[in-house]
Amino acid sequence: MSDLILLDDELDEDCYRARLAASLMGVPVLLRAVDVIPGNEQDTLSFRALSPSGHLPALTGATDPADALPAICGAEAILLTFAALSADKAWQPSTPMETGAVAHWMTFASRDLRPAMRLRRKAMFGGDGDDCAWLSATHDAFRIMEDHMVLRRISGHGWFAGEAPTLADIALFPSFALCRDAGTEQDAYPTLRRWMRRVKTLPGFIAMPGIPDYG
Amino acid sequence: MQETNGHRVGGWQPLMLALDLPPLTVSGAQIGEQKLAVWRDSHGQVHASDDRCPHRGMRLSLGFVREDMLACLYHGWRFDESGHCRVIPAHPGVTPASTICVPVFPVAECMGLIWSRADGVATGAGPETEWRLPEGGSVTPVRTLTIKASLKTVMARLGATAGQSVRMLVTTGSGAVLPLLIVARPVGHDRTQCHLLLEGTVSQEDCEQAAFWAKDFRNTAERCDTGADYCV
Ligand code: FES
Repeated sequence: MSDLILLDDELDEDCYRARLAASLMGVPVLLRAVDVIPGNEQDTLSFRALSPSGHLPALTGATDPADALPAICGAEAILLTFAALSADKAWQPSTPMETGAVAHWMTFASRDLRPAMRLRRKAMFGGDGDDCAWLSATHDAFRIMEDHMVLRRISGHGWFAGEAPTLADIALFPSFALCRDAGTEQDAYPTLRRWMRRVKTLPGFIAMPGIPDYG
Repeated sequence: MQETNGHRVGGWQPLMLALDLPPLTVSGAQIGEQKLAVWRDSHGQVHASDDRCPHRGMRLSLGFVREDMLACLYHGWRFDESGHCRVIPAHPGVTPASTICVPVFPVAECMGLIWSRADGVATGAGPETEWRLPEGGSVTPVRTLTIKASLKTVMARLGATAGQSVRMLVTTGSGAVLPLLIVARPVGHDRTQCHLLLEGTVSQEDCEQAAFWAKDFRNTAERCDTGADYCV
């Protein structure tokens, strides 16, 4: 296999998901910065040749020429790819139940946490959108996560699915950890805050601007 | 101890479950208009200060705990439990002037909860008396939940008086009887923070049942009070 190259935007939340996953799973990747702001490089023909919808992050070096896919696009897809590539098999769900729970929370991250990502993007880089609806949808999503983690704590667990950290935790973590960028308070989610600290202590954890790696 | 229309809230206020503030962590809380940074040192002691760094006004609750001091995230100034600034990283050799300090607030840890007060009153009476907490005995903390409904609505649903702890027995679907202890206070705009505990030492299953009860209760209370909104 050729080198894995992650087409990356340092301040983008989904790109951080992919970098964090690579680091936690010990998958070596080369980063190639895509100039999204202000360059709009994601709209250039050369980038669109790799990622037809202009989606970041994108990963090259992991596809089979036979399937005609130039790159794996999107955080969720890249997380799954890294788990399959990692020498550490603990990142692959071990039971059907765990597979289901991990898939559930990964879907939740890419669908229900979308408003939180949009809110942060708008707070940092401007743009249009209904802050009020996004904020309320963000709190709805965090509340669902908090309710879940309260029950997990009561049953003696510290992670979203399974006994150990999974792709679910990696997929969910950035939106909660970065929500202060958009001025969203974390105080109403004490159980998520403790889980967030737990994630920060994992071997291989890396921060991004907006997430202090201590505390 | 009742809220005097928004601003100064008197008496001991229940801020969070003790288990939600592990050693060496800090968390934000609010009593009326007063924002607090609440932190726990390595000996397990809890402290509370104003949530504003005297340097450039950064929120101290976004900081971290180092060497049993509350450190500001911005430039790392550190404050001890009396609120005095002890370390200024940009000037390592200099002892900070004793005038550099942040206001501190009294803290009590009792019944599995962390309490503080922002009214500057020292009555000598603890939260036990003010909130009529059950005497002695142990409690099992369940969770804190924020309900998008006014305290009035919540207390009406509980059939209880604001400013006092609520004890009630709830029978679950499986016939178990849960000895609930609820401590509720208003937070923010038309929202209520409820701390839910169980009296005595109870099984994991009862704890789970209590958490389910809490979710149902929140749903019902919010349905009666649709005025609360995040965008105010
Ligand atoms: S603002 Fe707190 S140290 Fe500068």
